[in-house]
Amino acid sequence: MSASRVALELLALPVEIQTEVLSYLPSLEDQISTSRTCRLWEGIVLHNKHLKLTRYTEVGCTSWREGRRPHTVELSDKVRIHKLLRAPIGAGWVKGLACTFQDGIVKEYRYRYDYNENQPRSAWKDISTCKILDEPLISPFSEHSGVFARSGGQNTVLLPLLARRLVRQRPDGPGHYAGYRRWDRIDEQDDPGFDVPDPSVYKLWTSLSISERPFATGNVYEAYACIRDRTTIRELISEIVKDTQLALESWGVKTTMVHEMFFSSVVKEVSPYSDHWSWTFEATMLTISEDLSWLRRS
Amino acid sequence: MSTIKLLSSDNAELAVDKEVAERSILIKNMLEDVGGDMSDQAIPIPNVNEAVLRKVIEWCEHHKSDPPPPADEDSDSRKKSTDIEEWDQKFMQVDQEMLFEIILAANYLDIKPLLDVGCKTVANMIKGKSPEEIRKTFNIQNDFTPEEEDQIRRENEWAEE
Repeated sequence: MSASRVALELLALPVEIQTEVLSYLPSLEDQISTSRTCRLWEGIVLHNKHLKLTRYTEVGCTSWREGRRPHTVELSDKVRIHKLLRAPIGAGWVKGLACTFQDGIVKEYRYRYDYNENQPRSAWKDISTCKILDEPLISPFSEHSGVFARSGGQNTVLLPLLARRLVRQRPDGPGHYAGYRRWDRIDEQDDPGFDVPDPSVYKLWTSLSISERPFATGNVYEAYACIRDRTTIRELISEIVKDTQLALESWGVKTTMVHEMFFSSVVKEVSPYSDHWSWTFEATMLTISEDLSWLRRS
Repeated sequence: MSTIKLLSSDNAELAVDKEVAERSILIKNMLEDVGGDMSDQAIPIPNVNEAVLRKVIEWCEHHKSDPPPPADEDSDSRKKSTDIEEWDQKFMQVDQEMLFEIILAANYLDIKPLLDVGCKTVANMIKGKSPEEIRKTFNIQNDFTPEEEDQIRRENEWAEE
């Protein structure tokens, strides 16, 4: 304990104490930051059970179609999903996970911390190498075996997908496209018109069909996603992007352009008229200019 | 009220009320082991220097009549609030080295509520910061690979606006 001793630093404290400090930071934003600070903290954030549990939350619940009416329903299953894909209801695609992609390959995963209309785009953080992206979409702690059993017993969940692409004008420049994707998990007896693919095929995307039904000024297509119980967020997103590439090609969109996709909540929608419920997961796709330079201006 | 003496690592003898010193579970157990009579002999605290020990005693003095912390059976479900009462906030307005010394002393002396306040104080210094800001604040070496460095660079580029 002499004056010549090297100054005591945070990383010199016992790992248990550093773990205790980090466990006081349960917000996803702080966990992303602390896990990117150094390898020791990355290990703590990824493997500490208390923190791991805080990264999963119940599937949100909204009243089906009626929208605004608050509807409280006891969830029949105890599926918990990753907060990276669970933006607060109402925040839409303006808070949460996004990615940029080109030619069917993800270039960058980004996460937006807070939504503020006046905030520069720098509020988005590149989290491409953040290992939290490599965690399963569905909590390994939740009792989800029943859910997987219901869809074919192959530890696979079918997430039917309805994707929409809108064409909009950017206020200050060349047009960009906004796509709107919507996934519904629909029980087998519902909507027999859907051509449900064989869930035993262990692929995330097993079928894709383009519909001519117009939606606003865009296109609509339908597809199904199969999610295994250990499918990670990164796997899911990169499969969505691969799939989107096919759609873009079929729509004749220039795929060498950088596109952006925003992911909003997985929510559980409950019909006010029946016991029907479904999962919905929405993504909004934007086609933006050749490079990202306009993004970097506020 | 009986008084006991504590001997810091740098050989300073500090007199303190027994009740105050017993906020430390280590000292409490020690006194119980020897039958409570330590009035003529200083208890050596070999891991804590005088300046830190005085700070710790100051905290114990202020919190001597606090109810004992609830049994910590299930720390996972414990509410992880970073709220700190005003007096403790002021108490923790010290330089980083002293803050970490207090945390280490609280850990060694087994003063759980003080350890909690210390950890919360550090957590509040991390909250809302980017990885680079955290590294600067705590002088942490970035030990990720160059490929990952590239990401950090881009992150900074974005932040420059």
